[in-house]
Amino acid sequence: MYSNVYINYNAILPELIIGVTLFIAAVIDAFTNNKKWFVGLVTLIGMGTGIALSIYLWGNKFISFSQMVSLDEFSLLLFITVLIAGFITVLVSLKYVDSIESDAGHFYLLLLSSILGMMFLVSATNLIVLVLALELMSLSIYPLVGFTRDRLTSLEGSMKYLILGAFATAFMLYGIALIYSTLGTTNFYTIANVLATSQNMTANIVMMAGVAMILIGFSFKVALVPFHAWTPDAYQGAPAPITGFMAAAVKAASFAAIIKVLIVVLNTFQIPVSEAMWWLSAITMFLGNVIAVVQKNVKRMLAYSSIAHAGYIVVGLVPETPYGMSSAVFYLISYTFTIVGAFAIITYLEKNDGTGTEISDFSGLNNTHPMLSILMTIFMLSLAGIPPTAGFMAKFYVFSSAIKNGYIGLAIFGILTSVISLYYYLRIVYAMYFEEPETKTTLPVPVGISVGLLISLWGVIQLGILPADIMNLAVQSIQSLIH
Amino acid sequence: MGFREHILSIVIFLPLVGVLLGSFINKENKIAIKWFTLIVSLVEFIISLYLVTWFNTSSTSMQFTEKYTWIPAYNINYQLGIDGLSLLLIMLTTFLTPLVLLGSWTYIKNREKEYYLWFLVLETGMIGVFASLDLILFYVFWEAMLIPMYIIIGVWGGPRRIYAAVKFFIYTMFGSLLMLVAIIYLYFAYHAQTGSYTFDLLKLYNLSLPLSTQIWLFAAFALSFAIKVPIFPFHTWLPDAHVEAPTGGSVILAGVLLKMGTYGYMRLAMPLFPTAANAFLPYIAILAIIGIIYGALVAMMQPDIKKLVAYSSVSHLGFVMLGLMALNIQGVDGAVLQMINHGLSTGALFMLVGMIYERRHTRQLSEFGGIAKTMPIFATIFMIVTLSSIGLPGLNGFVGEFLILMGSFFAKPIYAVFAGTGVILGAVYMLRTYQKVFWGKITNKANEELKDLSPREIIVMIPILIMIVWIGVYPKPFLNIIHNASESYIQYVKPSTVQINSQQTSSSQVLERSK
Repeated sequence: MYSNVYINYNAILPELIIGVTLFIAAVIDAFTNNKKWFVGLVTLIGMGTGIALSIYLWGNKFISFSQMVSLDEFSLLLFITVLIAGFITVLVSLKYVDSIESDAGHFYLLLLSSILGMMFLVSATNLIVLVLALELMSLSIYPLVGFTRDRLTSLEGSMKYLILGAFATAFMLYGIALIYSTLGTTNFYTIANVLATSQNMTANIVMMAGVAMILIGFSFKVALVPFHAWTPDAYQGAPAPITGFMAAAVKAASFAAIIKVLIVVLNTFQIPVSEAMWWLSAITMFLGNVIAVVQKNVKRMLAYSSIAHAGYIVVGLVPETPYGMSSAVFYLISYTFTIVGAFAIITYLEKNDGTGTEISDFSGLNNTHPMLSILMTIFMLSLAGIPPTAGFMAKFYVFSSAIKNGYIGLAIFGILTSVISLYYYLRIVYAMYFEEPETKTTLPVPVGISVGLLISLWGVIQLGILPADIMNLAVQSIQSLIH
Repeated sequence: MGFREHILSIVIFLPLVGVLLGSFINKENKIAIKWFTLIVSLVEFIISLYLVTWFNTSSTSMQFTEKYTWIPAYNINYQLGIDGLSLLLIMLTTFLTPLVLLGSWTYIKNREKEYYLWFLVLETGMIGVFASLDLILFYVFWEAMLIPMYIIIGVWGGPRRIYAAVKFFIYTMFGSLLMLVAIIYLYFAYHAQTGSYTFDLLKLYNLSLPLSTQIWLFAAFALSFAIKVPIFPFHTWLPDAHVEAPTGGSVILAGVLLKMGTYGYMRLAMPLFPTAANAFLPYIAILAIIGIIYGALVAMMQPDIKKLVAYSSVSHLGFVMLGLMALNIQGVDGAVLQMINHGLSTGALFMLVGMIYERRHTRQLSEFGGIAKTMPIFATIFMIVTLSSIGLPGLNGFVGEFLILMGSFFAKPIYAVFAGTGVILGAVYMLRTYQKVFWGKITNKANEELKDLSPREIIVMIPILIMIVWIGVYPKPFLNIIHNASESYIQYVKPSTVQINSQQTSSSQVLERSK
């Protein structure tokens, strides 16, 4: 089993880059008093290098550190996704971080360490590493949510997220303990082998409970109904760039971990995961979209919308086919570009006291910033799944994989819920175009936000009009997990 | 890279290129924007004329085809091609767009740049719908076209514009999303039968699915198109959207967007699922007849001229649907011609209503009376268009309605009897309206000093009047273009044997049909 006992640093090369960047950034942060943008710049360079390296390593496969982590196309694609999300988030935050009174360089450090956690999360091949990575990610995010210390909502969101997040981790750890007690291992491949060879494992109640608890723990992280209660407060309370980052990267990494566990570990385990996910996805799509309709705050609305999107992603997992999984990965990428872009615009509108994110604050945005309102419209249409945007292609792939495998009812239900979602996405569009502005803000758009917006716009259009290449990458990445 | 090989792509994307170039014009420079967009749309029209001259009326296959791989994993292609039906609708689009743009010059007084550019975006979407032969490509254009229309209604519309815009968007979106599920299902059903994947419409025509499957798929497509047409009882979005939309929006909505529904029936819903279509056919025909009569009756009661014209659309589109359901050459030819006629005459009516609204800022019938004296040119043009709309022989409306009534009579005489009352009711409400607005004494002082049409407004109307008379007097070239498309539609839909009809129609009617 343990043929790879030697240590191959290639297997964690991208993680090393981010780790080193984190170290350098921390040192620079410690020795500079102002000029925090410099820390941001170092962060950007580190992330850019990480992206470039991940592209360069494409096609390689290493499993090392006693089968603790693997580097394959799947983890590389997710590295690129979370790094792009992080890259845009840093760009968008440059101005924001400077505008905070306190010495705010650790904003970038926390962001980097959470990304490091995500990268280990998607490359973990051992349940213990998985939990450690999940905690590294989450513990870095909690303080970011409460970053504006003088704002009560921010602290409230952070606190709720912390407590419920701790619950989720407890669930997962308990689940892992149960699995370990049954099988005597936490290694993905060993578990898979044991499951494949042993009979009647589904009758083992302890094993079943273990798997269920791990899935519940993940459901907390990706905010599936009924495990979503933390999301609205955390999303609304967090600074806008962080909300975007959470919706994009945290969700992508957590979903990637689910996908990896489903494919690598539970592939041969005949339990009705599919049926459970059918219900989770249906309830999530429905409630997320319905509750979003009545929201007045855009951040809160997009929080519920992100819950609904988690439901759509699960639709891709329900059939438990490689193609369905690939479509879920594609969905994650397209959602990342879209939501980070949308939150870049919200960041521009958000004031330091946390106001400025009501729907009424978007009124007449077209009069003052026609470009921003066009972009916001495109992002909203992408979230609603209207062609020719990334969101349409993502929904198309996900639903077609469901229909292909006979889940027509779920597809129709999902599509009906997306009609509901149209209503609230369009509300932002009509606020921008049809209503007159209350106050005219004509602050210039910071360069960082403009560049971030351009990148996300490129993603949304590229994935919407020429999705084939990215979908190919998604398919390859899923295949790299199956061997 | 020949012009001729790529003419459809050029016609589709030229307006979009215009949008990109036009976005560099300073938004304060309103004259430049107006002229620029007008010239783009005129160039577009001239290029689209090449389609007519190069179109081969004797060919039964799709013409000007283009095909490029788009998403290979799903075998989705950028596939274009047109037959007579698409050609006429594309021509209608390129014909109406410059007129609408020119007609809006004084009507639109705020945010002009956006208005004119959105219209060009809309034009790309509309032509794309008519030229796509790949279902996903079709769907992309179909949906993408909603956004410009939503913005046009919502920004430049009347007092209840936001309600109308949202209702329009959500209604149409609801239908089309169900259609998307059906499209994807169809795709996998094709694979199950033939072992290959395709969204190619022409290949999907050859699929024969069991009736139980066809019924669901047909229902999804038919519902989506029924909302668009709109067929009674799915029409409730239409009066709102029409009344609230700015004049230009109403013209395009009535002239082209509604035709996408009937186009969808003729191109997709009916030929793709012929067995189910035949099973549903009597019901759709009955709904069409209800629409004809209901639309006319409601139109008769309207105090608002624009609302009246909007409801008359429900009635006219009922005729088109009835013609399509007749499944004989007269009915289908008439239906296609009537699509064009309705686009011309209702488009013209909306423009005329817009012109009077610009002068008086009201559309209430009771506010007018006797304005034939102050606006003689306006009154004359309105008269011609009214007569065209009610189907006076010698004008376009007559040819279409006559063919449809003849076709439906051959199919089932009772249909023609009921539909015929729609013609009479149409004459009643249109002539009554005309009388109230133009004749009698001027009772309202505000009407005494109305200015007659300006040269610009006359220029907008003249091309439509020419077409109205041309189709009315010599429809042959149009029918020639339509003919093969109608034939192949009937061929796909009409059951080759009496298998289905034996259950529903008596032998005498089958005899009747075979004449």
